[in-house]
Amino acid sequence: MDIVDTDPRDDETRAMLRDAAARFVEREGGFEARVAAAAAPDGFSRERWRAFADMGWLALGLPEDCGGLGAAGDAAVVAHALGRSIALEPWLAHVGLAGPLLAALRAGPDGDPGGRCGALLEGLAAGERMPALAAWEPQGRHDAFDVEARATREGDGWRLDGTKTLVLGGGAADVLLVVARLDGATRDPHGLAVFEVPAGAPGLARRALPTYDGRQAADLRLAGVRIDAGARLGGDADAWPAIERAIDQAAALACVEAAGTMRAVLEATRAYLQQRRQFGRPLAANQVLRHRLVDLFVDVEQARAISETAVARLDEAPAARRRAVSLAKAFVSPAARRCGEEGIQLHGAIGMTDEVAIGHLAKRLVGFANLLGDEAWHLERLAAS
Amino acid sequence: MSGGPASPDAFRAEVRAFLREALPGTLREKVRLGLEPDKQEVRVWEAALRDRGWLVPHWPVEWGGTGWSPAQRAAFQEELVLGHAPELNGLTFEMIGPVLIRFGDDAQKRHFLPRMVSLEHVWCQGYSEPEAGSDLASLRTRAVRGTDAGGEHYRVDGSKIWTSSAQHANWIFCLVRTDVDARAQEGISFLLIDMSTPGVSLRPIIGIHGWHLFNQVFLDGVRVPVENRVGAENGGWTIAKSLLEFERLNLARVAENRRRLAKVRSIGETVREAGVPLFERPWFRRRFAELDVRLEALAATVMRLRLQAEAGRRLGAETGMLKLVGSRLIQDIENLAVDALGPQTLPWDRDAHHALPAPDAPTPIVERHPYAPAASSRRFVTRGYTIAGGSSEIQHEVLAKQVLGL
Repeated sequence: MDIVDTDPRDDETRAMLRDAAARFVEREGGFEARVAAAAAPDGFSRERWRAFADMGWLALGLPEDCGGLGAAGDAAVVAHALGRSIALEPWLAHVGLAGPLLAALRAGPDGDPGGRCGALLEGLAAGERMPALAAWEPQGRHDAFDVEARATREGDGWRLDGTKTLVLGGGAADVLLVVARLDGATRDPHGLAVFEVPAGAPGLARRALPTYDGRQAADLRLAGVRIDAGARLGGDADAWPAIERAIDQAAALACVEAAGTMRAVLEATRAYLQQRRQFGRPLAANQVLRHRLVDLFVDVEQARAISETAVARLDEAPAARRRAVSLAKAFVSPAARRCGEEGIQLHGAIGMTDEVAIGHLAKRLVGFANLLGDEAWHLERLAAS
Repeated sequence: MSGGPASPDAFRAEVRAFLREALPGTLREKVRLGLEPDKQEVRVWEAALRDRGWLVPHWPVEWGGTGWSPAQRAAFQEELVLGHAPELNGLTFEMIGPVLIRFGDDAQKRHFLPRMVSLEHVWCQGYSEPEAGSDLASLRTRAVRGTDAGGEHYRVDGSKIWTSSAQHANWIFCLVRTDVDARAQEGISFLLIDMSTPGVSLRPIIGIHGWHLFNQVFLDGVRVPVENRVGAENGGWTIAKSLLEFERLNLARVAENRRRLAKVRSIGETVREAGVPLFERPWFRRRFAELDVRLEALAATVMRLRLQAEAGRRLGAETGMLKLVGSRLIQDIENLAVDALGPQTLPWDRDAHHALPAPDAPTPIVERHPYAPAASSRRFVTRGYTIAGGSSEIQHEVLAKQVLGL
């Protein structure tokens, strides 16, 4: 299995992107580089984030008139490479989730009054801004529409009160896209709006929580946070369709990322079984282990195919998009977890340690299974569709 | 009571009363929440058991045992686990203790067994090596016999790996190669090594949950008196193999599985999804019920074997199936615990693995479920259950060869 990863369907631009991504994995995707980046104050490398901006990776899949570049399929190429190297940079949080939300709000019925979504998108693409979505709340589990946070009119601005959790990329974010309720009951998808809240706003408390797989998931408390009238993004339109669209895009890209991580597990485990000898022969000579490696391979291939299909269908009508994304996430969540667990098991005790890549790959995969809707949540959404 | 006539219920009640009185509350709470108790806390509990005469119930009465029937011992174990008592140092009380009782000479028994019960000696196990894991017969640590002013001894050189709790131990029992020319399993001897001997050093190995999980133990020219060899020279393999036979039925971890499944039930009753308790959600009910079925099938298998053993059947390699099934079940229970708690298991707080929240800690922005902080690290630890002590792959081979005769 080669590090270079080609696809005959690629046009010239995407082929170049894929090549650059593969070279990134080769050059910087090593375990030592990751350990070094993890020790940085933010838990990732700012220098590398800068390099992502220079390569155009922070613009992928975002609208071209706001500095964006290419389609979601291009973003998927980078997602796969980042997954393969279990990169610590919060690309998925900012480019895969917050960016698509800004793009979807801007494309909504009221457009982008004041151009604030567009400005944030330009800043994101240039590597100057790091917006993060604050949607989920503790009682809501995987349901982002389960929102108790309130937005009330105060003077000619807004006042926000509430609690948010699982703010992906919330540690480094300089601006938060806060979902709050204008009216309706807690679990009503209608009556939601998205507000632009500067990270330093008075009344906003933030606690950055690193996750066990090297991401960031901050908690927020908003107690009487006051913002200007124009901070409501996307005008007066109901925000849920845009929020759901963005989360679907992030889930599809996360699936591609996981497929990349699964591939790394397969590569590492294959190499280990060939190299490690027991009872006088390589482990790979044992039929039962060979077959398990083949099952891993089959999972990797299917995970990648169904995830890329989901990405390709993100722009379809909401019902078709939801189905495509849930098919992918419901398939890849358990496959990814199984893959991580098998990787550890086939490595034996060394797989239980912090000292080699396999445990870190596995942690990323089992964490992914509980992120952006787990298997049960997506099966439920499929059944309901 | 030791071995006296008592109804099973009265006996269980007595054990429970003791637990209430002697098990420190914070320790109980840590075990209940799945946190890793520190060794000092466990030692306090071991001392309480010792003072009650219950530290080593399965040993012969002359060395501190209670003379209980197997059923009584099983009931005792179950009450301890269900009462959230921590696991005792199994390497000392379940492994090297029984080895010396069976294979040790009189001097070894008289010297070592009382020091285990007094808690003066804490043991760890030196079996695996960097190039010899499940394939123990390929181990390379050398022991060369010689004589000096201090008498006959071995000089031991090599290293042992995946040694749990070596940082808390002061003695290690090791398999070493005493005859390099013999066939793989025939040149191995079983040595008891004082870890304060010059030449013994440790390298900690950090686990995937961020904690000191194992060690590598280096043995560089370590002098071991010949009296510290158990059994015959080059006869260590028989002893090593026999270790796997002790307390075979415990390999199923039935009581531990019950405790963990009870934890998942309590999570299901307290965590809400879509506005209702998880326990009312079809996906959760089904997965919970499936685990319940698997647990009862395991418990029934253990009970059947236990009754057969009491009726005189000698248990053999078929008990390997209990480890195979019990370890896998624990992993699946812990996965359901994580799925039930959901995304709140993602944040990683290194200290949550072993420490209760400080009473004066500032109120967090988001209150997590009491089981959430350690759920992921606990789950990662249980991945090792299908690797350690004979991996599931090895268990399959043993069953294929020794039970199915393949």
